[in-house]
Amino acid sequence: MRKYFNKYHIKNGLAVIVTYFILTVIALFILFPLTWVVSTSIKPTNEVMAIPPQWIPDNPTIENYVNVFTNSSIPRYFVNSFLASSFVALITIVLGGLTGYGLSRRKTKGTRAISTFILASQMLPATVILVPVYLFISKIHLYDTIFGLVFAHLILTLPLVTWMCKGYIDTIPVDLEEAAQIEGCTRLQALLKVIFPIAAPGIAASGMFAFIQSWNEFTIASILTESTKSRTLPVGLTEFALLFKVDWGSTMAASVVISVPVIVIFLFMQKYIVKGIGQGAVKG
Amino acid sequence: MVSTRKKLFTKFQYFQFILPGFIVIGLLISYPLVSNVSMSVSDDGVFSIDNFIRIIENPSFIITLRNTLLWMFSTVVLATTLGFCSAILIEQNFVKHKVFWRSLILLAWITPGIVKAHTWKWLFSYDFGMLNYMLVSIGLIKEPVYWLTSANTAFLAVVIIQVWSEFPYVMLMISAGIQSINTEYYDCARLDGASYFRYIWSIVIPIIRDVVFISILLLTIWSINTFSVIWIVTQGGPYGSTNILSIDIYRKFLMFDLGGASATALLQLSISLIITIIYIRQSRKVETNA
Repeated sequence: MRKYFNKYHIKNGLAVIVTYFILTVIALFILFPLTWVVSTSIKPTNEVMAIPPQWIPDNPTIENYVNVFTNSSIPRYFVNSFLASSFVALITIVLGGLTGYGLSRRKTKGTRAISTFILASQMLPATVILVPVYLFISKIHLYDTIFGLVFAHLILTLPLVTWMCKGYIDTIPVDLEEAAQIEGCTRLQALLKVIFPIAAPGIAASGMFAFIQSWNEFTIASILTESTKSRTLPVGLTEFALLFKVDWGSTMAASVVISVPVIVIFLFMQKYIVKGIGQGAVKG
Repeated sequence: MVSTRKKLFTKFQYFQFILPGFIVIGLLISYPLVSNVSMSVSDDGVFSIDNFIRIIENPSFIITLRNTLLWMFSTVVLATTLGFCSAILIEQNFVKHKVFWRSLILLAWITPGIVKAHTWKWLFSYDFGMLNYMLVSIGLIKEPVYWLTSANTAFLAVVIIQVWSEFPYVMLMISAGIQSINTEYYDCARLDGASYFRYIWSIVIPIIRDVVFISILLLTIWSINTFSVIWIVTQGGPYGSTNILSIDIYRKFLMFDLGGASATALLQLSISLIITIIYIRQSRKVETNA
């Protein structure tokens, strides 16, 4: 027995070292591009292109951020992105929440088929809907408007949100509603006063995933928006990178500006992250 | 005493809940699909399969198709392997701060795709790219490499970017799978003298097999649907070496070849639909087993 433990111990010691070594390498691989974004965004212009490149700037500065906020259309794009993503989130949670509730509570062959259809719709690639959406949005004169974009983003987000809401409501026992009714609630009261408060965090989280997806979406946004009136951040950043080809400092500052809201949302809803990501809620 | 439990809502009332969302989703999904199919098989309103013949006869088509398959295969295999290994490492008993490691790796996943693309594009650039500088300075390569402008390395570069951004997903899924395994299995395996590798091979892998399979299917679907990363980093070039179907659709769209774009889109859709069907069958299976 003693021998066994000794052997086990030495082996374990080696395993510890190897494990932490490999994990550190993986961590460096992950952090390498990310720290580079942040570090470049606070470098003065002459240091950005310095050879050899430096990880930590000698004279950190916020001039790139000032440049982004005063000399570019990024602030306007930020507002556009925020509006579009918020509309998408609101519409999807109202429609998706109700449909999700119905699909969760009534399980027949028909509703199961609807659920499957919704799950499959979630996989629809943006490039496949490119041409029809462009033609349709132009036809109804919503080209280059935020509403046109919201409309297109609903195609990409509504199935997912519905599916997630159904998943959350599935975890709430139907007994709760029945108990509320026995206590004298009407059906609608049972839904609004009992189910809604319990389901609210999950539904809100689904809405947030829709928000993030719309916030990050590039393909459709790049063909439906043309001017500063409706252009969103992902498209704006690409335009920015082309326009200021040499100004990597500002491009990286703009990248930080785009990433911050997403990361903040993640920090606030960590509890739901794993579940949402598990269902494929956030695509890279 | 009436004992039949009253249903909360009548059948009709449930449909009131389901219907608005279902109608909206139905229209939102079917309109683009139907219109895509009809555009791809029509030539000025007359039925014709010219669009398909035209895209298939184009000599670059076979290269694009080969790239697409190679892209799906290489990104999925690499991301799954890396994600699996990191999950196995993190979930070992002695590893401290598991949440820290998982969140750190997850950072790559939650960063907006557009930011990843621009950042990596710059890291890979020949002149001022940090990657060339680092590889030269640690002596791995002698000369800076034209990562994105030579046909041999551009594909490798975009694969690296994709693997970097997607393996955290696999890590998370497999970590969650391992966490759900009863720790008694581990203790038993240990008492029976099984090595950690043996424990992984004979206990963990059979248990998490379904989860892994589902993540692989999702990765495959995302992989074939990837657009913005490749478009921003290489635009499908150089010499079409990173051209995959989704890039082809977008380029045809920009050149106002709407028929060709729709036909190519239909092709991309068929591939992703096959995988989606397998995905749905598999999720159902897992749901009924659970």
